[in-house]
Amino acid sequence: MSSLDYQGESFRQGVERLKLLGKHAELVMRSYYGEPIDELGQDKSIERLLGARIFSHVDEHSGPKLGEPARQLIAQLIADERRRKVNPEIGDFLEEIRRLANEVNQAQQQGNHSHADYLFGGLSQDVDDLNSRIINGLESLWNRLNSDFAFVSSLPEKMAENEKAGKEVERWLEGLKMIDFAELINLCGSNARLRNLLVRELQAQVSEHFNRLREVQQRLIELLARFRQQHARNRLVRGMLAHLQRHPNFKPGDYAQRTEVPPLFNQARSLQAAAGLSLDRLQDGDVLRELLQALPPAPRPRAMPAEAVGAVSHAEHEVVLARRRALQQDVEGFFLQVWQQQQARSALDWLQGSKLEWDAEIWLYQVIAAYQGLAAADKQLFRLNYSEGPASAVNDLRIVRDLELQVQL
Amino acid sequence: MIQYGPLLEDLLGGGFVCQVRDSHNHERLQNEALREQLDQYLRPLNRRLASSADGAVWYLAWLELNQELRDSLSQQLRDTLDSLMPMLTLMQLVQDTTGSDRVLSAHDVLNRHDLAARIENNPSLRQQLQQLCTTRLFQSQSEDTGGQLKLVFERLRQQGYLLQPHKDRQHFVVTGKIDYLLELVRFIQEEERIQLDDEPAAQQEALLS
Repeated sequence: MSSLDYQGESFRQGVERLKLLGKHAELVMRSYYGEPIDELGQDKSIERLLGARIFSHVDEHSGPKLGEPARQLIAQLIADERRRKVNPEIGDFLEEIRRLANEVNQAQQQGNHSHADYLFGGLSQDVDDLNSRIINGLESLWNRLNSDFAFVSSLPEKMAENEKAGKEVERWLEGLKMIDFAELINLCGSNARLRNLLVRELQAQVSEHFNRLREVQQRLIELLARFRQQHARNRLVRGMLAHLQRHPNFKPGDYAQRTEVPPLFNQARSLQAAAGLSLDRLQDGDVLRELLQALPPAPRPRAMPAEAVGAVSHAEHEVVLARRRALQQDVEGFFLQVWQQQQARSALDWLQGSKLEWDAEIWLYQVIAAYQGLAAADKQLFRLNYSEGPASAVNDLRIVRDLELQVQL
Repeated sequence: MIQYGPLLEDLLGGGFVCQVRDSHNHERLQNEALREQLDQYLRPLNRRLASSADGAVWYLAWLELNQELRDSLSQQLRDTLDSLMPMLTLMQLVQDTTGSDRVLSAHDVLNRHDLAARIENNPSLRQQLQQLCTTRLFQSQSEDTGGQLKLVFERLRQQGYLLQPHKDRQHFVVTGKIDYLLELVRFIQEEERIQLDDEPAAQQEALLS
């Protein structure tokens, strides 16, 4: 009996406090949304709410606030509206299946099986609708992703589109999180058919949607990072270019002389490794032989006869000697190039082309002398063609106007 | 070490190893143990491996610096700065020509004939290229767009910014060295506190958000 008494008292207290809540509903809701409550302004009523432990003082600096249990109760009561705000599709879907599941159970209880079947059909249609809506949404997201948002042209637009798509994914994820399977299990009760549809199947589908959405989300984040990087690079190139155009004499600091040289600027000079034939590698013998055969005959140390450059006086100054040597070397260069290119060249054209400052007549003379001075074997390799003409209309002295050196194979 | 001969030779020759130029060795260089081994080998040459911040390109740096080497680095820096304006102009030109929404980066493929044709048909682009060819980096005597672009591409290939996979085809692939260059530019911009103007598009975006 005593326990019944106790329950009676609890019952009375519950009714009393619920009434209290109802009486101060507006005040409670204002506190729920974070409005500070002025204790003095509300005097008696706040005292009663504090007494009923609906309100409490969280700390000494702030006024009384709505307690956690009441807060949770309100959250539950207004959950539907909140859900609709997060994701109207899923919010509506949940309300609809709750209604239909209750009706199915009711019809079943009343033994109206055909009506229960009809309602169940509607319910499974709703589930299918939700699934296909999510799948379509995913497909459209992948299309946009895979084309790198090619339907807009500029990077900032792409970034905005990416963010829009990201919000879409988030909206679906938040929506799916609202599906509370514990609640659905309760809703289905002992109805195996409902349980199969709303718990077993839906759970598998929802977790599949979660995975796919997360994958899209990941890809979107990666793509956004890439867009951001590209955008930064665009700005950098444009900005630096503009800066350099405005300040043609721009000179940054000499980073190489700092105590700590920034790593980017420490770049070692290139080192060309000297290469040699490795004669000990027998397997390369054939290749080496072929290469050697393909080489042009090595220019032999040329014993240039002294008369080829004219009489050399012992008294001649060193400067003159040096000039003579330079002339010989340039002519040698001419011969070498003709040999390498295997192409006939005019001596005067070459002189002009290589911007040497020799007098044309001296040049031609030296070319002839060099040709004549070649060893017989080398001489066979070249042919020197004279391009001659009369000195003037009345003088038939033949003058060498130019020479053409060609390779003779 | 023999299997790393070609890699070492490339690095010592001043090469930048990136995914585009040498994906095999680039992948090998992700291995820290190997990098240590290579550093050991390079030690007597006063060199060590270095990479850009994101590890996209590997090259050699001096192990220890003395005044002479610092001076040579200063000279290198001056050369880089001399080529900065032409390089940035070129990047802008390519972007304007292809209508791309982003700056040239590693792995991009450029078709020289295609670019030349587009530039040829646009007087403003043609003028930009002409101007580019008066710089020391891209000096060209050529009068026509095709010839000018050919020279520009050749210079970029020599400098390691472009790779031509097939000699007889006009496809060029941008290497990771361009990312290194941009990293360098970023450093200078931050170090010298150079204000970057916001693009008009970015301002629009700010208005939207």
